[in-house]
Amino acid sequence: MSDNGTIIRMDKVSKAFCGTRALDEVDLAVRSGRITGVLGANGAGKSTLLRTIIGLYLPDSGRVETFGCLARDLGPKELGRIGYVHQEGELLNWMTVGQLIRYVAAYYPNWNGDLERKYVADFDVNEKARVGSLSPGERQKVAILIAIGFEPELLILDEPASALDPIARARFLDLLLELIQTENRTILISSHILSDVEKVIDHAIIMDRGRIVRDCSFDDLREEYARVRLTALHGPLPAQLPFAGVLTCQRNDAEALLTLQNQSPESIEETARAIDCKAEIQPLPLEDIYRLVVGEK
Amino acid sequence: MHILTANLKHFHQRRGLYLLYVLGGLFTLAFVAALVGQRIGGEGEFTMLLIIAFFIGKMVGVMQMEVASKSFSFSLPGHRGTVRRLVFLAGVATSLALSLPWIAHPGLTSEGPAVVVLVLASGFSANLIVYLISVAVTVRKTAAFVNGLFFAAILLVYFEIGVALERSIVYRPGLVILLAAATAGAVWLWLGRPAWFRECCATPWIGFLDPWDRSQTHKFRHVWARRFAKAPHPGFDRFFLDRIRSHSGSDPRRYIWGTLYTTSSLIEPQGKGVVSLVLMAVIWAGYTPQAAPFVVPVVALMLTGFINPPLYSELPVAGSRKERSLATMAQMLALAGFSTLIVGLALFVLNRLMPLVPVIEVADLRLSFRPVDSSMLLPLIVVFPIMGIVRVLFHGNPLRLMLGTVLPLGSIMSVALLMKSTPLAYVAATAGILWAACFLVVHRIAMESDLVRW
Repeated sequence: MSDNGTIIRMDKVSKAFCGTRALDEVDLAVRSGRITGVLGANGAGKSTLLRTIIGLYLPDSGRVETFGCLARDLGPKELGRIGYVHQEGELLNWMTVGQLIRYVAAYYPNWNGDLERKYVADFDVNEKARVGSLSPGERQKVAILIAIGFEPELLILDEPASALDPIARARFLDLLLELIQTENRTILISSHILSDVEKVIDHAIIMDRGRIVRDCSFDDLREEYARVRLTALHGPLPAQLPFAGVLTCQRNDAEALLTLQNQSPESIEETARAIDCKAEIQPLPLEDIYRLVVGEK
Repeated sequence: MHILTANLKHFHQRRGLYLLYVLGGLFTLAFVAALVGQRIGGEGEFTMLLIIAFFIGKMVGVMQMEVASKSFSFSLPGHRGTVRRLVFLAGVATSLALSLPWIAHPGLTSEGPAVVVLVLASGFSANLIVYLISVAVTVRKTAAFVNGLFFAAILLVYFEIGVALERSIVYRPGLVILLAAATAGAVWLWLGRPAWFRECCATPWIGFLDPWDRSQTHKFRHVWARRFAKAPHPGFDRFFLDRIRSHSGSDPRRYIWGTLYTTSSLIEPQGKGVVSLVLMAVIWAGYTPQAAPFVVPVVALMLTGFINPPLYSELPVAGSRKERSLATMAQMLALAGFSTLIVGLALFVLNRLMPLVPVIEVADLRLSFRPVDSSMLLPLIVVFPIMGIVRVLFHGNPLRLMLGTVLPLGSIMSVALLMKSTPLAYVAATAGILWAACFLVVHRIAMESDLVRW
């Protein structure tokens, strides 16, 4: 790890598959102790990014370092600090769940049996069932368990909750929040379910067509956008609304719903007062922010 | 586009089928040329035409199941009636084509045109019966039964059953035609039942190229997992897990033991099947020494199916690239050693028991068990590095994996024949070169390639 706590560094990393650029000159630095959400549409390059970080994919150009080591050269010592959940990953289908857990646990001297037992109980994992006979959601639970059981410093989760039911997803998010209490534990999570992800992340990376279009703290991202409900106090709304940074506007005579970018709450309220209106300012949900960032109106 | 035409397009849109067309077509042409050109027949040779009809029926049945098992096809308007129309259309065309060589049957040389036409109709009917039975059995998913019929078909050529069939077609055409009419009626009605479509809808079905396609086999992994009903023996697990724990994270032996564990736990529940397969192969080789150079390589090829390279493992325990490379080689070497041991043991035991093994006498045929030469083990040490290279190179690409598995078979069999007369030193050198090549390929992929493939 470098002095400033950066555990993952990517410099101008590109990766293409059959002519399609999955990663396009990506620069990234992930500091330890963060929960970073990697967000993007299907085919944006999220899985490619995560797999490149742990050395499963080799970049066509650029440099990837994880724990101060080139990703392609990650050895057992570094890999022993990384937990990874694949999207629809392959498990050993012929084993029972208990057999698989014991097999994985054998590789990690620091495997936490208490955590394993707690997880098995909380998530109703059936240890006697064959892995191959599990439903997609049950498989995902097992995949998550074998990734977190040794309490890794770096946890990479590629769509970990996509097959979980809402109750299991809520429990999983609580588990993530528990895990992050440990100092210097870092989590990278990619997910389509943005309403879940926004509850846990403190840093956001938004990808679009192989490029990172936003890489900032989640608080900064939220503060960048605001939804303003403008209500005229006396008479109709003015024809022209003198707000800066207007991205979207829906209005009638008495009310308007605006999406503003890079406007402070004070300036919004001042402008509203100036036109004799009341402004209710609300943060945008992550889903809406995502759509705005990648250009969809 | 007419629905029937749309369904016929499956037969030329699936590129993998062209391999079958070429191989099957060449074989059929060669056989028919031999039948017609050399005027052989009367001893069951013409029953090979029925076997060809059988395989065409299987192919058509598989193609129909591939569509019918997809849930979207259940609600396709007009689709249900099309299945049996297509089956019968293909059946009529197949039976017609395969009935023509009956003209060359030696029993018809002095017969008039009416008798020849009657025999042709009988040949057509016999082909249709076999074809329809093959389709009906295939769509009932009794794969083991259908595959077992392959071996039964080979036996037909050796025994009087094939002769009886051929003579029935030539000398009892009326009976054969009646049977064909009954079979056709039954299959027509059976394939038109709405219940059949409901049974097929969303049923687990591994399609033609799908056994090599992990994304497809994953969909029905629960069906495959059912074969592992027995709980694992705790001592078995403990043995390997202790070995894993006894080595540190930087010791490659940890990952090698891990791979041996996962491979063994896959083979152990299927052990009886493996041993039975090996015993059957060795017995066959003992009774038909001319088949020995071919049987053992085929068995070896089947055993290479257990190669599941840890190179591409998605579990976090597979280690770094170097450990994955070493573990993959260890797996291949272990499987080659295991296979050689099992086949060697079977050879040793059966050769020792030779005085007790019965002689088979059927009609004019007398088959006695002869000791199988231990040189039959040599193909094993050659097959594994070749298939190891194929499996790591074409992992995740079902068509190439299939071609890579099937196409070398001919060369492997030729090599097996050559090995019998080649000095052991040359054989050892060849095996050494192949294993070295396998290691280089595995190492190169481990160090220079992406390790996740779709």
